[in-house]
Amino acid sequence: MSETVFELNGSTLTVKPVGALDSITSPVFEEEFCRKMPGAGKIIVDLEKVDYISSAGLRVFLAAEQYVEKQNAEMKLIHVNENIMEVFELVGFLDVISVE
Amino acid sequence: MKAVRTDNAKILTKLMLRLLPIQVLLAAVGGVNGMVSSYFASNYVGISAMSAVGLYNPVNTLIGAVSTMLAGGSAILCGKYMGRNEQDRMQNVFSLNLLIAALFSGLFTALLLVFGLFDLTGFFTGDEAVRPLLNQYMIGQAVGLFPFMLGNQLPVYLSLENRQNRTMTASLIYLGANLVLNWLFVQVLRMEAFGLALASSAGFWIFLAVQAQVFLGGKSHYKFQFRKLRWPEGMQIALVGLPGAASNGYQAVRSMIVNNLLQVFIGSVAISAFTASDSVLRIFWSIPAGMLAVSRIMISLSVGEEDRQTLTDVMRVMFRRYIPLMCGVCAVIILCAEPFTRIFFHDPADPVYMMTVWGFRILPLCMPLSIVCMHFTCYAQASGKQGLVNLLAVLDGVVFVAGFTALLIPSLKMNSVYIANVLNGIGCILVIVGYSCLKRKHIPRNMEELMVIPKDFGAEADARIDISVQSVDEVVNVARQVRDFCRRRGIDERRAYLSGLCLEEMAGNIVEHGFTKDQKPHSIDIRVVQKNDGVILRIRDDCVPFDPGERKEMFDPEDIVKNAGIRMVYKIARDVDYQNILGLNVLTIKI
Repeated sequence: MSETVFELNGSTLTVKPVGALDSITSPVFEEEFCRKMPGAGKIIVDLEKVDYISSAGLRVFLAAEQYVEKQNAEMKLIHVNENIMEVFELVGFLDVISVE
Repeated sequence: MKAVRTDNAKILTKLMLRLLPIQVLLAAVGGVNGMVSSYFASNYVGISAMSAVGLYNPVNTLIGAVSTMLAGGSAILCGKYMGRNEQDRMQNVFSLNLLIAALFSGLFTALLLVFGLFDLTGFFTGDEAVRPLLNQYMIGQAVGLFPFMLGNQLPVYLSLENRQNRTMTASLIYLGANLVLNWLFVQVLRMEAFGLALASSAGFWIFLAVQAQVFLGGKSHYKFQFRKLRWPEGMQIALVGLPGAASNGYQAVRSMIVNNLLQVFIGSVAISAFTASDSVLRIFWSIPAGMLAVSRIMISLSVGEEDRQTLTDVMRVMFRRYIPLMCGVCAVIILCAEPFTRIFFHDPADPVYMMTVWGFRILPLCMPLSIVCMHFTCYAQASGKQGLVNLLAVLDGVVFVAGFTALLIPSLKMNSVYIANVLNGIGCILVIVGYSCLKRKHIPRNMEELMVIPKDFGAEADARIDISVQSVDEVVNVARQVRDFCRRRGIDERRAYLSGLCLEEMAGNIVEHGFTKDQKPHSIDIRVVQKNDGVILRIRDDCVPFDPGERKEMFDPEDIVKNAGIRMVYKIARDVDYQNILGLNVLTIKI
């Protein structure tokens, strides 16, 4: 996975991962993500350039969701492609995380 | 796409060597039991009882042949259906196999009881001293026919479920019981021929009970289902198993011819020498028999799965591991020729002594050759090459040994029969090579050509991936390769995505959990096949048994964190099937 772009605009953090979020790339992404999250009141994860997410990727978002809930912040995923959306639906991910 | 790297052969080698000792022991138990019975018959009952036992032998061979036919045919069919993941048909073979075995045992039991109780054994012997003993012996044997036949079918299914230890336990208990019961009935209670037969019959009931416990206790996937029986499959079991059973018949004919030749050209001393060497070698023949028992299941599974790679790998393991192993055993037998001879004969000046020594020096040479022939016959059986099967059965069973002995006996005397056995092995291998030349129209250049595997067998090379992985990084890379493979094969993006995902989740799970459960080195063998417009993933590993279906059920369906990968796969896939075959976890996922 190419380097993730993190943009902080006020208290809004926009995260733009690129490529695949699999068992290899997800731990690296998670580490960066965890470093950037503190202080953000709103997190937008733009998945436009992500074409593949495995359960390792899903776990990163679930962990992030738990964190933002504790911080009374909010997180949403945007530009999710069709295939990834299907997986989100299948595992009940949409009940837990806000996806647009 | 070409296989990038595969550890299939490595996994198979480990598996085939791991299963070998038990199968060899199982094959050896029969020989040892024969020795126990002979010991009590000869030492505590007498010559007339030994004659009765001898006269019963052809009946025993016939019943054994029917039992072998049913067990062999069922093993091949079941392995094939298991490879194709046709659970219903496997269950059908299991139920039919047991039912037909029970029917045959009922028929044989009735016949033996009628013959024994009504003294209808006149055509076996006119000897008035022997006939009553034969009648008693038959009645005693009748008691144990049902467990004998059923007990010989169950090892097939126990092996398929990797429970061959159960059969081994049953065999050892049977061995002990046989010894104790013979001592009790024959030596203590003086029940003579009836006691001899009753001891083995009672032993067979114990043998059956120990094995049947697995099936009656619901621990096995195989369940007896009378209502859903598809009877025509019974004919299939018989047809597939017939060559194995027919070889018993051919060997009986061969023995008769060879015995006649020996008697005419040399005298009965030659038969004594041949019998002596043969009786010891019979125990060593359990090694090739055990090797074949292991390979048979792998071969029939591979034929069912249309897995060319495993099929050829089984043969490679046979050539690279089994044959050298057997050569080593043969060298030991040859070196021990004289000590073995001294079990029977003690005077080196007696002609029978050296005749027997040469038996031990020459006959073992045919064992490695026979392993090759047995494996190819088994493959021919499983793949429906009935012509080759029948040809080899006749040539190997009768023609070569009898023919070469007849040809050589005027000049080589006793050694002719030994050399004929070795030439038989060479002849059979030449037939196998010749068959391949004939079918391929050229000399075989590799294992696939030698085996005459049809070109349309299994998926074409570019419609499949065979690859092995040992780490999470490799798993992810293979998942990417699978996605690329699907796109290249014109499979839609959705399926390509889901195929890669399923592979990453399941194989990753094995690396993460299976590899760390013990300290042994493991690897995962992955096969991806495009079939019609779908994708089939087969993930095979040699870690501790792990059924993802059971794991999935263990957690709250509302909890999306726990086992998300496994649950995802079960929701995505059209079908997920887990089987533990011979100790390997085999997961088949259809997308």
